[in-house]
Amino acid sequence: MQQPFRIIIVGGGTAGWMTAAAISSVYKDRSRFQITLVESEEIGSIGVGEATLPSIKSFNDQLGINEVEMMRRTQATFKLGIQFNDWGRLGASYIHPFGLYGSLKNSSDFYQYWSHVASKKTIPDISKYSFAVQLCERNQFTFPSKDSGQIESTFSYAYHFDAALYAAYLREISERAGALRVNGIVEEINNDPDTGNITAVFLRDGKTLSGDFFIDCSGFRSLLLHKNLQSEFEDWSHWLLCDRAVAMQSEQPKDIPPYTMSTAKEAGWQWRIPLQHRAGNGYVYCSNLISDDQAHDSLLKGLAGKPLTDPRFIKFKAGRYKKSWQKNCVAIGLSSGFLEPLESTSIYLIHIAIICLLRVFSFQSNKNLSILSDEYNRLIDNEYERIRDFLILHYRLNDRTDSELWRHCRSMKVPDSLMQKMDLFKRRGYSESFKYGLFSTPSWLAVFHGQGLFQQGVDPFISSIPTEKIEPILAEVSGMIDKGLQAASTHEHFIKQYCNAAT
Amino acid sequence: MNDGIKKIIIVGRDLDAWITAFFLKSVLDKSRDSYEVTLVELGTLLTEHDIFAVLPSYKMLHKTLGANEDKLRQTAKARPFFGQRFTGWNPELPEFFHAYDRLGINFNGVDFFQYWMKAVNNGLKLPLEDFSLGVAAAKHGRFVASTGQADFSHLAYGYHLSAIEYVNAIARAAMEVGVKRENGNIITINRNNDVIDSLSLDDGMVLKADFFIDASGADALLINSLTDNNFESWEHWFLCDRIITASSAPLSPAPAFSQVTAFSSGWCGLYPLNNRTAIQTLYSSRHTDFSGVVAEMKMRVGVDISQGVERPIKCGMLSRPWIGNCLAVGTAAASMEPLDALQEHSLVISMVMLKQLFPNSNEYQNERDVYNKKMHSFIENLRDFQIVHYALNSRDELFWTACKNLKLPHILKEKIDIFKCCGYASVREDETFQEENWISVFNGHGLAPEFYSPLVDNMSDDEMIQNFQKILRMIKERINSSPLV
Repeated sequence: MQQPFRIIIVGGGTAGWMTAAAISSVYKDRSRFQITLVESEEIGSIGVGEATLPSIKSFNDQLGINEVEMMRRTQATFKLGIQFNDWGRLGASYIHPFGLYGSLKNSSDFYQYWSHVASKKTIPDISKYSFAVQLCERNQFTFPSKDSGQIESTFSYAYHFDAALYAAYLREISERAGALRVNGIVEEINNDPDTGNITAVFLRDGKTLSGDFFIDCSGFRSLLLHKNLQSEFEDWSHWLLCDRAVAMQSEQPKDIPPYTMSTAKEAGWQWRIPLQHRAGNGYVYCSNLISDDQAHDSLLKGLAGKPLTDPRFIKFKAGRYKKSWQKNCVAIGLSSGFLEPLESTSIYLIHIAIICLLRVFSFQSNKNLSILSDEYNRLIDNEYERIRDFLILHYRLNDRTDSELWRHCRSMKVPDSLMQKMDLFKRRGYSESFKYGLFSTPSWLAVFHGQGLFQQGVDPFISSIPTEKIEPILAEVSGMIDKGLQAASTHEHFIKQYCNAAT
Repeated sequence: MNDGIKKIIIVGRDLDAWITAFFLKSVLDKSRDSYEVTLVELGTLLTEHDIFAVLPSYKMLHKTLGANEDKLRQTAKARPFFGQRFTGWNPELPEFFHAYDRLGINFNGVDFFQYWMKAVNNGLKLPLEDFSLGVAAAKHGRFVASTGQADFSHLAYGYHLSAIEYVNAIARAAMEVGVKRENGNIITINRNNDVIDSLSLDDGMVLKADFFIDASGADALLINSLTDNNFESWEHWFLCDRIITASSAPLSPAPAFSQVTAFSSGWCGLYPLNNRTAIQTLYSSRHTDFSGVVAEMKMRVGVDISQGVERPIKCGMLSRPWIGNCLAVGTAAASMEPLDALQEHSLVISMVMLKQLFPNSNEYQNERDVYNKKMHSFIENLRDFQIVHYALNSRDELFWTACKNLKLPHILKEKIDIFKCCGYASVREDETFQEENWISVFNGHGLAPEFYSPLVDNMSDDEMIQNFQKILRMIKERINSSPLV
């Protein structure tokens, strides 16, 4: 009988348990694939990534997770987008939806149509033509439809959930699937002197966990990838200046919105994530502009309900390790890099790392590791870089002069690729679409438009169409949206009916 | 309205020139009065033997152009093809198809190819292609309509088109939508640094424009006047330097695929048309000569190409197909060999990208940069796809041994390496061909992964057999209920 392939996951938390659940659900035969996760009850989890992106649904679906049960267990609410307040300029507000503008059949040219007509006469803002945005503005929710003739086919949704409860839920799933959990603190790591591969981790209580393949989910400590294998960090903090967050839970007021809220402040921005039983809040800030106390005060002022917990401070640096897979070790989650959760990408980055790992690696041999890791690292780099540019855009595109952060950011030097994107959008509404990675064209559009970069020229292939021919298309979409809104219920009501959590 | 470009001059000939002219006039200028599109036509280089084998994307192009496809097909003696059959590239292996369709069904999110590898390991004798509806349509010559089951099939077909007739039909349609034609020889290209101002013709006429399209073919007449060292030669990857085009009698019944056969020093393509069979033979003049090829074709492929027309071919691409106000399209931008029906394909990519990036003002440096970058990457990926056939051959003649020893382009090497590890097709951004196409060709040439994914073991052998049978049954039913091409 062949020895089982031993996979060791270092660290629980969202990344660790998502990884354990995903691998154990597809690599089912425990006589061939042994999965062990070591975590310490003494070391807390960061778990601030409570807002997700729509891909989380496919992750859950693949695990066979029942949505209602998951939402009840994790106090989850639905999420249709993110509301950005005071970004771009004080007093401004826009929603970045998980959805398109227009209806499905005309979405690819819809913004061009809208710009063309808007250049001739006054018409409602582009956001009025996004069904997802309109649901958000009314605190409504309904499920998407697969019927491309319906306006409900133009959006998808994600969740807000309690990340600690979600991790606990995935732990159950993983353990049911035969993943082993070891409680312990990793003290030392052993490497093969010839290959440099990790062979075992030693725990404080004297246990040894030997493995063939190691997954580093140890969070910011990056115990294996950075501390042991010395992967080099690529620092992006010259573009993303915030280096600290203070997080706190508060009471959730009634009328739960189906979106995350992000409010730009003097030295950063504040998030509010509505759950069924509470809200998650945090202030992401620049520590050389304000003190921890000032950040804490500012956070308190921005709460919508009474605080429920003490503040928790988190330090970080924007960037990522150049190779998140080295030797026989791949880092997933914060151990591979950090990008502030402005666009709720933390859990997405865990998910995409798992997808890429499963795509290239089949957990049966450590042959050809360098070929596999090159491919993996290439895919992950692309993910990180695309998100990075999108985040920088939020800072760069602003007219605020009220504080040093915003004055600095509005003229900071950003990657050339981003300057090019801004120019092409401004002059013609162009944004590139890709096969891999976030974000898609409507997302770029939402932020460009929402933060005041308006399209000035129309695509020449549209500009020769008379606007009278386009106006009926806009009117049709408005009609579809009105009809859809009438049929949708309030988000709060929907949750009560569908997945009310036990209190 | 556009306050920049009003007048566009295209200099060129044949397909590249007329498609671009038609496209710009009909798609860009919907109201028919904001742009003036003039074609300065150079003499045709086409002969009665020439053929365009074009990928399914030409159907989309025809639709975008608003062209009457039925009429085009009729005029161009067109035959549809669902794929291409490769014979003799790996003599120890069976011939194989590269069709434009899926390969089986990806059960439980795992590539069908992985299941197939396991089944072969367990003794299955059927080739991978037997599980592709597109391949079956090609083999049996059936017009299979869309199945509505995208996870099983999304088959598509391209066309074999008789070149002269097709170009003439496109030209007529282009003139109908208002493309102007000028004849005459260009004496001077009047320019200011990298901006072309006007063209002086030999009859004394001076043609001014805001934007110039170079569709002059391999000469790249306009764009080469703007810069040196813009051509990246692919001679070290593509050893064939001669192409012979010829015709023979129509095949009956005419297959719904192109036949691509390797011979001692090159390859030969047979393309059924309604009134003839078009033949393209590529060879390396360092390894044989015209009469040698003619003799070998007669003996091996059974066709007489002695009356064919021979031309040199030099593969490569421009580093920057768009410089200043001059954009090169088609062969001027990328001179590709006809393998995989790719010779006319860069033109479609250009049109798709122009639709997104054609200047809407006088400032377009970023459009140009994005276009150049994406075009370069698209063409490189296509080139790599062609190189696969040469690099993975297993013939032993001098020509083919030289091909086997090619130093592979970096990205292709990565793709081959990772496929060999785990059977995963690493498709990049900017690719025409997707996972199924790469797997077809890798597998067809015998590139075998070391392992299949253990994820296929989640399905019991019985269930796997049943699923395989189900796919075969579905294909058979679809074929039997579909009309002949």
